[in-house]
Amino acid sequence: MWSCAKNRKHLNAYVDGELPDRARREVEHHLSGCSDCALELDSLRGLAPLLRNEDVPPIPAGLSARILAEAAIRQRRNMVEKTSGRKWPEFLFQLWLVRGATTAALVVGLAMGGWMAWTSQRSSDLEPWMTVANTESAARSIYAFDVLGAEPQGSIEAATLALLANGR
Amino acid sequence: MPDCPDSDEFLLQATGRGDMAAFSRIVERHQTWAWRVAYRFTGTEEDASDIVQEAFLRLLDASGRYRPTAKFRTYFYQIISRLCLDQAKRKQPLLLETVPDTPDPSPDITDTMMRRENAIAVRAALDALLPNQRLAIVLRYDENLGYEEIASALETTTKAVERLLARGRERLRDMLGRRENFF
Repeated sequence: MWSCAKNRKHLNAYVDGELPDRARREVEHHLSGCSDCALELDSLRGLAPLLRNEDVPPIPAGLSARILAEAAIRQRRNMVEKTSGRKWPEFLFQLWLVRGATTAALVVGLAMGGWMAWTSQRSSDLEPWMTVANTESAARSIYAFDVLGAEPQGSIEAATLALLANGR
Repeated sequence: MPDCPDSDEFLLQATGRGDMAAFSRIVERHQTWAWRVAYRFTGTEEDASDIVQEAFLRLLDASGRYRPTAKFRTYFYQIISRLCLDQAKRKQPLLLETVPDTPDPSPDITDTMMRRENAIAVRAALDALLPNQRLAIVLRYDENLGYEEIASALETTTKAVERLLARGRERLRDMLGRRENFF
């Protein structure tokens, strides 16, 4: 006959009906002659009615609709990815990356703006003898690029006339 | 491919081919027990809803890769179990005072109070277990799963499940045994 210690080691599996036949018979043989182990068994069985309670609330209304709506969105996204033949990696949508890219774009924009303002200021400071002889390139630099100039440099019509005059 | 067009395995494979009606059928068929496991594990409707929703969406994502070598239920239990254990890592145990009210049709107020008190005690005892012990207990008592199925859901061995259940029960008896009328 098994000892109490050995018997109790198998009691959980016995309660759950998971013992092989031979071990189950040993446990039952022990239980028939041991009131302590029989009490232990009752105590283990006493947990079942407590734990198998019915206090589970019903599924929240709309949960399945929410699941299906989200599923439809994912399905559409997958279809678009399949048909476009490319999948945007998830890391591209990380917040830190978006913030970094925005900051970098801002810095580059400011630097370019500063540079353009500086070059336009320099060209307006030139002496007459320093002006570029090539009217076409001068017109291009004045009328096409000097968007940050301190004062209006003319109009598109004036630029066209300058170019025509040079052509003649 | 499974023969029966209404089997879970067949429906999941159809979902993998883009059949959303098949997915809808899966949700309808399995949401009740998924909800029960998640709620019994977490003890709150909010967390249980999140787990159930995420479980079905993961199922959808995996449906394209699904091969019916494992039973659908085993596969889905695994997904839910992982989500439950992940949630437990992030969340502190539920406080006694926050145990939600559950509807009770009994007109006897004493009985109602007793039931509520017992429910609170059981909830607190469950929350005091290690997450994998709690999940093993939930799968055993609420879902009536055998050791093999629990082992598969928790991705462990049947011996480990036996130990988890034994330790979980020991702890539950320690906590609940102090109260009268329990055993």
